[in-house]
Amino acid sequence: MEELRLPDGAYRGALTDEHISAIFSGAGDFNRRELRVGTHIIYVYAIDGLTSGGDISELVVKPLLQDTRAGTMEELYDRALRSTVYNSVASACEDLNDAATKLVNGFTVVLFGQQAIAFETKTGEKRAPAAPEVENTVKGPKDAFTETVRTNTSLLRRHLRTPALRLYETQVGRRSLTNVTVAWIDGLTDPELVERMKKRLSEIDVDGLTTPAAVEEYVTGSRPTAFPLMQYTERTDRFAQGLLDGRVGLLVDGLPLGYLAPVDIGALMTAPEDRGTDYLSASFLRLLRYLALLIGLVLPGLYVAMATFHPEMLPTALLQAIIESKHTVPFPTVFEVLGLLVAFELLQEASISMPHSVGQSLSIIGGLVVGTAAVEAKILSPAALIVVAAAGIAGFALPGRSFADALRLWRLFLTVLASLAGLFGLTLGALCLLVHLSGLTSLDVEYLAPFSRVSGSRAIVRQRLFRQKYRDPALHPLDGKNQR
Amino acid sequence: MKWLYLFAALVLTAVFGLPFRAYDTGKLLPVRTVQAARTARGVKLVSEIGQAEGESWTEAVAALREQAPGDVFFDTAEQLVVCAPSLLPEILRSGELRPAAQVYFAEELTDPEGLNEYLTAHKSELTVADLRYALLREGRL
Repeated sequence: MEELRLPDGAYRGALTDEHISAIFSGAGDFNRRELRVGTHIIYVYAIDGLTSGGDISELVVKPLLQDTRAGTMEELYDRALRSTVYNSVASACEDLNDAATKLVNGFTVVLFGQQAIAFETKTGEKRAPAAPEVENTVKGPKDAFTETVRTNTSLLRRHLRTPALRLYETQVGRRSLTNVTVAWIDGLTDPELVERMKKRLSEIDVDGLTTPAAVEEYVTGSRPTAFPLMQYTERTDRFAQGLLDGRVGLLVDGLPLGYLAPVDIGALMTAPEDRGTDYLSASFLRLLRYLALLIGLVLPGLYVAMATFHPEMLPTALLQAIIESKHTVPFPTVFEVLGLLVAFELLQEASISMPHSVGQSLSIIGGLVVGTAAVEAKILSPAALIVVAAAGIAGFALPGRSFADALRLWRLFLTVLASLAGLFGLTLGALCLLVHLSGLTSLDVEYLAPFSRVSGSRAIVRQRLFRQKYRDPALHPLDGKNQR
Repeated sequence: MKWLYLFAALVLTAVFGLPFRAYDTGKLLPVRTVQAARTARGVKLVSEIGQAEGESWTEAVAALREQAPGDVFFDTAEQLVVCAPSLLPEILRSGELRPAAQVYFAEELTDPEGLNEYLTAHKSELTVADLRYALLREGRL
């Protein structure tokens, strides 16, 4: 079998029963059946679990066995491909590798001498679309992506009925052979963006593309940044809206997510609910989110800087309150805040890896009971606890988890800098962050794009829908106008 | 590796090279109202933290710092009550008080208890910054 497999993971050899059987030897779910049709022997192969046994019997085996006309193997093959087998999808296998790939994708392969036909007999067993778990909204649709890429494309087609919706399918991963679909709208999306996405996918030469991190890092080129360079969403409507905006979508088999690129900070700060509520409420909520971003990012660092290096900048009454709350606490403010930030991260990590019900209890015990006990035992000052908790809550108010995670990392970094050099360190850190964000691009679109233009307010204020006549010019859409 | 060196240099500069002083917030004793008067010994300073005497304003401040149970913090002082105007150049030259602190003139020292609240309710138009400017113009600073 080893001699059949090439270094790139593909299979090479004659399309024979021996070779197909050899490729799947030892696979318990591999089914092989020998059939006699007239004077010829043909072989039927399928992988149990990926295919439907009933469909194979009814739509492949039965019509083949009912073909009693005499003729050569070549004629039998031709009739199976064009007439006798009334399966909706039948395609000739080009070679051994094509046959093996079709088999692992839920096709039934029938071997006629040294030619083979693959009939689609995929099983209907897959998770049905359910309501989004993270990006839930009150008014929006309740169909989230599933792990099956074909289900996802069908959901997308229901949101975007346009025939111009293009779905380019390819496989990535030498061994995982993960089906990846690039989605875009023809005549709207910049073809250069589509080509760039296709090129990046074609350049990925890895064993497997099975995790979200693998998709994000390999597709974006693994830039040294914690900030997401692709936006992911579990909502089909949001994905469809992204395509309508002129972005390129990516669907990966096995991941219940859709990826959108390019992405900028404005897109990451919008929530699915923004288009579900009136423009005033949506704008207010967006402003609140930017405020949350600022609080979540700098509040702990600001507190450390002010309390440790610049207490004179605090109003005396507030300073007095902080001093009184810290009077019996044995740790300096810096260790108190950094310790709390680390404890907060630990608590989050612990609650993620716990079952949902236990996770909630853990949050209550960790956050409320231990926090209150620590304050009462005068190990922590209430002020520090309030600051870290406020920053944590502000972080949760951000719509994108990847973006919030990146800010968590920078928050820790800014706090460390503030603990070393006060407001000077905090400002230096903020400048570093600004420089870092200014240098980031997603498919060559600047990360801070919405703020580098005169129309930057669009990222913060949600305009009235009838005024949103033009698509984001940073995406270079072929059709720049989206309404009359 | 160069980033590591750069970060190490940044940390060392931040810790040892910058003119900042770190405070232990829990030990801070913020001063809100300072009274200064001339005595036979020199200068007497009275605040909510306590009182101290010295031959000069600087010495009185040092004495107050020495006897206080924590870190006396003058940067929060909101009011300065001066019983001897001749002390002003010395006080302003020391730079202990922030420019926005309000300045009052009094005949004699009073009980600091409740003084801050009283003076907050009766704001002065004169600040340390105004006086500093005036004295600088007169060439007395």
